[in-house]
Amino acid sequence: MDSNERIDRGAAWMLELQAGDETAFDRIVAEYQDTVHRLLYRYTGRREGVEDLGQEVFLRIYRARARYRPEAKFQTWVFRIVFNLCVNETKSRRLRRAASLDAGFGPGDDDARLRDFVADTREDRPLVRIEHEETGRKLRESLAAIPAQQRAAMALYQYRGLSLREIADVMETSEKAVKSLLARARENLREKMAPYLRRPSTGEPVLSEDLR
Amino acid sequence: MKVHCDEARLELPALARGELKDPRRAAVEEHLLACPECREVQAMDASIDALFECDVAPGATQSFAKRVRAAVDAENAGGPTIGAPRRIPRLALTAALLAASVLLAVAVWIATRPNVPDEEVVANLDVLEMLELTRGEDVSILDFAAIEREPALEALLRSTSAEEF
Repeated sequence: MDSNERIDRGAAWMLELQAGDETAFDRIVAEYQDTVHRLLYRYTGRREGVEDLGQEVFLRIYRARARYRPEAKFQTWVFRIVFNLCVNETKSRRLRRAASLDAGFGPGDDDARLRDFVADTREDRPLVRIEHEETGRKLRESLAAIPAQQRAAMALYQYRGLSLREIADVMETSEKAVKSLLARARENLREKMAPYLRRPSTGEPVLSEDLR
Repeated sequence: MKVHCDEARLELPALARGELKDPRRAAVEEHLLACPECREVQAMDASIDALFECDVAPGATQSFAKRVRAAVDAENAGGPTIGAPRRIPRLALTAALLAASVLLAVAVWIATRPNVPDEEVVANLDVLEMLELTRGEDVSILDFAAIEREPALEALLRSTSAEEF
């Protein structure tokens, strides 16, 4: 099933739900649950709490059944709910999150060990073991530490299949604003991830081919 | 068409996705060829994208759909929704506010009412009567600790001559 077909089917299911067919909602959940979870995970940077947020997304979809109008692509509409939930969640938890992230993101022992590990693998074998859990953790922490709007743009960008135009639709902003958010997000990520993206011997960037 | 570093970097995500159209694309690529700093930024961005690709985001658990269905059914039945914020019924909220107002009014009345003898004062009056009764009698029955807590009784005690005890 391609993306457009799924979008149309999603809207059709929503209209069926609106007409009173409760099983249509179960089909929506079955179809979109993985997508919603992956987007939430990418945005929050952690597994904990993703299921609660995911449930809230689908409850909001269900509660909106009476006023739903298929004016936008269904996937865009679902992603907009995810985006709004994430941004509001971030606002309400900003202080607590900032405190925990700041505490966990300093140049501690873990960071030193990780840098050594990556440096070793870079020098001997250019193929950095990026599947290593700690590298992924550092990446998620870096993304979770940047401002909410930049993070949302980056999470949506990393969700393959969404064009910049579609990201702008989800975020209800312009394509130019999305480009600007992505540029700032990437600048922040480059800064935070620099120790893991440069070769210690030459200071040159590690090639993306080496990371795959 | 010439582009500067800031403009070129702004277009890197679109260029990476193949979404940049000519002549903009050609201009950005021309700039990248001439600018080693922007090429380095492009390389690091590509590395970040590669890291994201390798960090596979997990999908939903097998029980998730059942959990959502249970939450929806509970909501339809008017019960609490597990894991979701609970709404406070308007009537319950009104009753709680009313009860809080009554409690506040009672607290204000207690704090501002005229002084009346409380149990401690009454107890001290008993001691005073006892003191009167025992003048010249055996003092061992007096509660000196209670007397010392009450300045008036203590003054009375001091004014009483030792012979009287």
